[in-house]
Amino acid sequence: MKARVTFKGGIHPPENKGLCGELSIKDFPPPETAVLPLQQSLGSASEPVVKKGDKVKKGTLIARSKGYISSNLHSSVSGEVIDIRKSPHPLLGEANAIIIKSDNRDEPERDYSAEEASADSLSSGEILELIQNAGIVGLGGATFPAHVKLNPPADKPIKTFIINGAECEPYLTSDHSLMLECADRILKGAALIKKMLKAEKCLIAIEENKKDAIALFRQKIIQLKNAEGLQVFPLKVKYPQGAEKQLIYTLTGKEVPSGGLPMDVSVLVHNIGTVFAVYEAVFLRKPLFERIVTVSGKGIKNPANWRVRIGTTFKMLVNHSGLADKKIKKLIMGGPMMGLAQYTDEVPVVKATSGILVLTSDEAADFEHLACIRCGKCVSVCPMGLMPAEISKMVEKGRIDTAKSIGLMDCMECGSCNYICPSGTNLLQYIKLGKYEYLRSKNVKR
Amino acid sequence: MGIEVIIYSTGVLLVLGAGFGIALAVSSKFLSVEEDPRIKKISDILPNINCGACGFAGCSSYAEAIVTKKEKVNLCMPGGEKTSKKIAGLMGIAPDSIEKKVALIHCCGGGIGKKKYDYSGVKDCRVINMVAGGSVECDYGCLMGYACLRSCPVHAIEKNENLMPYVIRDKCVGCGRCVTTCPRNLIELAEYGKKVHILCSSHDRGAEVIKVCKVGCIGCGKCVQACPFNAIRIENNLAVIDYSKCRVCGKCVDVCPVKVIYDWRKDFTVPGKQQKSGKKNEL
Repeated sequence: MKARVTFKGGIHPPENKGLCGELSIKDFPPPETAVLPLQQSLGSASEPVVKKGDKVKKGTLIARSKGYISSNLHSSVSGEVIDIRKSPHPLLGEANAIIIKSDNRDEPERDYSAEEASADSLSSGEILELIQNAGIVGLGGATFPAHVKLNPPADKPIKTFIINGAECEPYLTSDHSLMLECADRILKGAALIKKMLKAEKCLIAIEENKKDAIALFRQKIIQLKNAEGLQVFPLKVKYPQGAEKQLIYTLTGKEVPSGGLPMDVSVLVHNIGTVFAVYEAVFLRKPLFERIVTVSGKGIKNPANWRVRIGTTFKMLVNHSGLADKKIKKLIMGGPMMGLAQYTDEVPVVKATSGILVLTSDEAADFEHLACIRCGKCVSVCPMGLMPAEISKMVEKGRIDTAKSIGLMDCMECGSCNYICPSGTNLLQYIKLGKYEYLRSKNVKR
Repeated sequence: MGIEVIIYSTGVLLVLGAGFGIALAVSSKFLSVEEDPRIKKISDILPNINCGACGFAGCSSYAEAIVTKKEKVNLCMPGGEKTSKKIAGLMGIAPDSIEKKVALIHCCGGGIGKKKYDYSGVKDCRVINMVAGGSVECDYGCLMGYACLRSCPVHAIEKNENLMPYVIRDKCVGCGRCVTTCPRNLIELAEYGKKVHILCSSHDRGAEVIKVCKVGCIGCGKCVQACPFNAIRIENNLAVIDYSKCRVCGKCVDVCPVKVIYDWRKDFTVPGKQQKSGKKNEL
């Protein structure tokens, strides 16, 4: 095999993907009480359309999108709305949520198993509406509403549609297991989106550590009748290979301009989970109320991939998987590199939850924060080609303008610099602080 | 190589030097910009700590603005009345009145309030505030990250025995840097003369406040009744003093059941531990 093109920089953290063992998706029982935070996507929180005491079914619309960048929210269980109150949120700390008590009947709003025959003849507008109604957001973790992303302005046509199956975060195997289990459906969804965008090419990017998935997709594409432009693209195993801009560079050789979007270079990237959700929304008319979640880490007895209803608390998932007899240090939502540590296990699974990790004290070590020795390792690993040490120093000294001029806002917070730093300095935290201060100063000036 | 090389090179350098010298002399004579001498004088009068309270980048740019743009002369908080008068005298205008203001941290429970989680990472409250909405249970409490302490240009903020930051009122110049730094907007500039303050910012309901903090305003309204001048009102579950009405009688201090009202004229006691310690105010 010829040497793979790839982006500059990046790191190789221990994968630990083997913890999950067999890659099959198990159904997690619906929760007794579902906690559904109104803020499920980037942008503004959705507006509840139910009130206390209302009866809902599985898949009933309970909150409508408010504003352009916002998404719909559907009930994940059948039962009764018992409250709309502040509750823990994995990303925001605390936010308003609709609490639904299950009646254990799990009655769906409509039959979600039969495939609609008419799906192929729908127009782009109708498909977009279905996607918007289903409340689909980017399931890779950024949770950008899918209907906004799939509707690029007319002057920016999409030529290449990339399906991101890199899953470069250690531990997580949810996308991998989904690819193995639902390859046919993902390809159907991919063909649909490709047709809708009138894209020339559709590339399915998978890291080389998922050889079975690569082989499976290649085989399926050969079997397909009209697989024109559909192609599997194996990627070098490296973190952050799955980051949008790095992925686009690897696959097309194009660089997304600073502050720009992928559509500026005629590319659109969607996560494999999002494509699957689009398939479900269009072909099965099923709204997004469940997703695949990896529950892993050395603190978990039986790590596995679960199909979990949105609104299930982390506590239920962790208890169901069993806690190992080890000293537990951290509970993380997402991968270990970009995930967020949680302060309570009462937080619910949201649309952004790709994994739940329970890390022991030997996995999540405490660092002694020493002074920067100017070794330059962070510069050599930064996938965006920035100087993290320099930026964080400027922020530390309060010189936000200088930090901005050397690329503060281009950082995508992958954490490679923090990982590689031999002094254990908190580069990323300072960069995040710098971004916060910059945005604040900008708002004040306005 | 003959002697002429040395002569030539020396000659060339001499001619060049003389040429540039004359050019500089001529340009300094004809192209020079007259700077108003008052700018230098005002700049010397100003405290030169470059705190930014006046809204200009530094003391010298404020001095320039006074002379060229006829900016008001009472904007320098650290300088106060004295500086204002001096500048006004120099400019030949009547001085405007200036009020001495000091920073005031509206929280006294940061160190003794309940913690949400153990935080490890950059010790800066602006960062801590981004991690799941802060490490203390109270949504309005000080996070003890000391960004205000580091932002102070005159080192007027220190930690007390509860490790809670507090302002040394006589050192504070009222520049307001800590006010903009605090991620939870707990700091306010208060008049120096008004010495009774409510040190809590919690808009939570009383029952919730008691759960997370021993020294939080529960909005009971006892101070409202005790005030003879109707200067206190309950706004959104929090007692607020209207300083235009307050005459600093100190009657509200004694009735507060949670002891969040402080009188800076009496024994200054460390916020949050006032029953125990009897430390004298540094004023």
